[in-house]
Amino acid sequence: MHKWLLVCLLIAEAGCTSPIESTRPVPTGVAAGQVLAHEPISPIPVAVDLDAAKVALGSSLFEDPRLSHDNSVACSTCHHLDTGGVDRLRFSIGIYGQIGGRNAPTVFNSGFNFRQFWDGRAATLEDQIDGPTANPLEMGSNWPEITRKLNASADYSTTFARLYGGPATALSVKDAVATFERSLSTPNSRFDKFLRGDTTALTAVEVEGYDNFKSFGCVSCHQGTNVGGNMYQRLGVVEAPPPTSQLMDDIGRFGVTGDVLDRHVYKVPSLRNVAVTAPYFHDGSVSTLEGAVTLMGRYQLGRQLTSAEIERLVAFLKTLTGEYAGTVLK
Amino acid sequence: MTRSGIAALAVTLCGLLLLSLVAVKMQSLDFQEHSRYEAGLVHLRELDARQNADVLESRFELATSYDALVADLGTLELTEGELLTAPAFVDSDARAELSRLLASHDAAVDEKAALIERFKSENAILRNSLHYLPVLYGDLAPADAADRTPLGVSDIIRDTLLYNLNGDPAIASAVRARLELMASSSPGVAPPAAYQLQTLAAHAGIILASKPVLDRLVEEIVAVPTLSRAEALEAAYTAEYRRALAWANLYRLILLALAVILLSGSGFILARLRRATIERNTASAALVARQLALQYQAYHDGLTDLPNRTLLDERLEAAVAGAQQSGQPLALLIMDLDRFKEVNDTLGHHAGDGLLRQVAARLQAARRARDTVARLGGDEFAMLVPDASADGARTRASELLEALGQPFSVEERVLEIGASIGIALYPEHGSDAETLLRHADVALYVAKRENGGAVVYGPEQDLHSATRLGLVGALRRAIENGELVLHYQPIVDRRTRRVSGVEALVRWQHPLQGLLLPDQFIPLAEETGLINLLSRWVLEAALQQCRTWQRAGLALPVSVNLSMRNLQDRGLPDTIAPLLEIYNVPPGWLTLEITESAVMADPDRALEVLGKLRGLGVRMAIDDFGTGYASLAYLKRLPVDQLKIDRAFTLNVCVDRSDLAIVRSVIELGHHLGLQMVAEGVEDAASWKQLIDLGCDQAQGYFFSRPLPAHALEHWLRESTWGPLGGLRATAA
Repeated sequence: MHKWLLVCLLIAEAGCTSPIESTRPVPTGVAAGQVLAHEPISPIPVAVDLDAAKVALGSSLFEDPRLSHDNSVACSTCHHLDTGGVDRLRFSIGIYGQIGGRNAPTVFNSGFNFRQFWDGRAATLEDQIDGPTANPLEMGSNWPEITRKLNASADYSTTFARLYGGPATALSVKDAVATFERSLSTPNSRFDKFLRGDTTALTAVEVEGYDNFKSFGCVSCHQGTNVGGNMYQRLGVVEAPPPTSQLMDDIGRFGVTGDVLDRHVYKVPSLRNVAVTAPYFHDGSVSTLEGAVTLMGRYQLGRQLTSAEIERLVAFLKTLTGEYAGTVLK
Repeated sequence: MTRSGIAALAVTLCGLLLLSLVAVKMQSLDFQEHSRYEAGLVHLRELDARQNADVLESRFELATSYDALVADLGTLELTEGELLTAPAFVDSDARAELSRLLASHDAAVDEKAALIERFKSENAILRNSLHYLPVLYGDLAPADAADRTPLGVSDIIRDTLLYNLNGDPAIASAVRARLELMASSSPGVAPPAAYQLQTLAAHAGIILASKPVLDRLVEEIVAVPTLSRAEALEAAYTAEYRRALAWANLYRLILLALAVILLSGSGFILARLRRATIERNTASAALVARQLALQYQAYHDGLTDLPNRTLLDERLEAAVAGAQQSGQPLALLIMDLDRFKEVNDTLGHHAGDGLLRQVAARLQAARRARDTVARLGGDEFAMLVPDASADGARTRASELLEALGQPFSVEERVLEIGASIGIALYPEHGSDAETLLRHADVALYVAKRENGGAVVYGPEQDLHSATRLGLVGALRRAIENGELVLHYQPIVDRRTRRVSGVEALVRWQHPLQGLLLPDQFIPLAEETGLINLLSRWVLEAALQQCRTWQRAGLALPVSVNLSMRNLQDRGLPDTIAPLLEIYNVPPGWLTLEITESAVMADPDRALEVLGKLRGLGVRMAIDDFGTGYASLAYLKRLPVDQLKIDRAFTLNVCVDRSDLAIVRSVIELGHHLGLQMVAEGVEDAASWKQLIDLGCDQAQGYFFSRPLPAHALEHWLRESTWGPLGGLRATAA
């Protein structure tokens, strides 16, 4: 806080109009591969240590529509791995063509989130799986049904016996799928390369965007490895969206805790791969990054961002797109 | 098997069963499990402190990401999960209590986690607004200051930031008043600036509202009783562990008692078996008996019946391990008699041995139940005192000095002996048996140098090891300056009843300390490598003497002792051959003696070296036979000509029936293997007669003569009935 007072005084003396927009120079003298210290965001680990056999089994289950009641919907139906881990629809389509109530979040990097779902009602990836499988609007099934179908398959029976020492159970299915999901991390984004000391990874505009991201206060909530995903925040911190806005239709975390303080509170979503996971917000009501950044500026930061600022911030957000299986997400 | 034998077997089996039951019971206190659980409890407290630190770091912007907070909460919950399983030794009541306390701790953790979630959100909001105020300042303040009727933007921003620093409510009210004033006077302001003024009001409002909320949240987070509940959990567990430990100690005692009963029971049975078999007088039974005796001998000193160095080492190691666990101190006292050498030299070994037995008896009398008294060798004794502090050890030392300071009555003489004591304490002076022994030894050196009394080890005393270094130098000089002399003990042949050779024994005529016996400097020589030099000197001197006697018409083959270390000297055979040539001594006139234990220390090396030496035509003898566990298999293969039966067996050959049986079977055994048998330590006519009856080939001992300087031996040869002339010259003269 001292430093802000100091900045204040400096501004007063210099009479400079917009010091925040002057960007900090790209750090020099940082060896490649060395992570920049004291940054609020840290890079995604390049490698994850997981049981390869369980990852493979989880991958099959993830693609398997038998996890739904009428064998029509798989996890991957709404979480396409080749479209950013989402279906890019405002609301996803479940069994019998039913429409869900919230925008499907990406499955990529979900292992780095501290809770699962928009309202954080599941503590772990394993618990999360209970949600969509049982939700009548999504897969509409139950564990006895799922395990019966899986155990009818000779392939699954042998694999489960080998890895879990018995037939498929709710526990082992969830373990395999969650293990697979933990393998869905997207390291080596251009921004991560920048954090690891590669000063050529970002353009000057993108670096300015990152500096704005920090100085405007975006980073107060979107921080940590996942650039978000590790806390809750109310939508409309400085300025509440008008009551007529669609964004206010949902009660958010209040539905989980029943605490009035949690009204319109959501898990702060990760901004990793945000450029490829439109549409935005819990209701998918905003289809462009520019739109989302504008609204966030108003509701959360209480400031009207200029179009130049928005452009820079979006340029920065696009550097957060990482790689899966060696390929940059599209 | 007899009926009593079967009964004994049944009792033994039952005892063993009981023993294993108690052992299993004792084992239930698993230290690994204990340390896992305890580490978990400590981890709870650490994580709690780390959470507080995380919160404060975030509050003061030392940390700009919440990842650490999230990770620490995750680890905390994981650790709680691990603590759900209490170690097996925790009883059901305590188990219930632990899970109740853990649940209450978990509730506190949840409460704290919920507060921390609020903190994270609120902190982000405050941080955001704090970051924005300086920007607004840049946007608004210059224009406002230039205005004819300024709205006080600079004041609002400065005071809001100031309020965030000191939380002074007066400043907050002042800012609120200014904000109201600004709101009422701003309608005239143009739209873009008007929006910015609204924004300023919003952010200033957020800071005014959030700062106290956040401060209260931090206070509440730190005040959640996670720490006190973790401590309560730890206290309950520690109490339970203490209780279990007490039981385990009790079981250990029971185990010990059972083991003692069983051992003495089986000892009794075996003793009966042995008596029964010896009565049947078969050679194999004699060997069984010998093994038993050897087993006892391995752990006890033959003279005083006290535990020997080996047993002391074992007990000391066990005591140190015990002390490490219990945290109790212990003391090791090493003592040495002040005037023992004088007794030995003036009154003879017999008197010396008698004195040592009396000393042993007094030490035993001064011993308390848990102490161990041991004889380390020579006149050196040790006492191991568990649970003794420095003061306790000093008190015990003065008791011992008092006991040994009383006059002794040896062979109808009253002797004042006195002793010196060196003390080393665990843990101050060493955390292992070896270090404690060494340091007690150093302290003993200091005590002796200061003419008696007890001395507690101090690190500065290590300098006094220089005494030993000095001794090494002195020994080297002694070899060079001819301070070493050989004494010769005659060996008498059974058939001729005449001397048939001599054993050369080295003495050190120390300029200050007088005549030193081999056991006072040979170990030092062995330790320092001087032994090779010393052995060569002895060999040369013995061969020279042999040659001298030969020229004077005395045919006296000579035996020389080699040390264990000589066996490692591959050049030894190459040194002996030229010496035999130089002094023109027939190789068969030289016998090299090696102790049985030296051979068994490295049997394969011994086989090789003995083979080479014997290849020279030199005769080889195994010394101190019966004390070193030579297996019959090796005995058969060893290239030797002679076995010398240890004095421990011959001393009481007329009195002790088992000794008699052993000597008889050893002689038979040796003869079967074609070896010449020599008895050592023959001290009286009856023993000599007995050995003759047993067919022993040769004998030596005080009955014939003690070791004598060369000229004294020549005198003895002339005068004694055992001399080559059978004392005829003396009779004639």
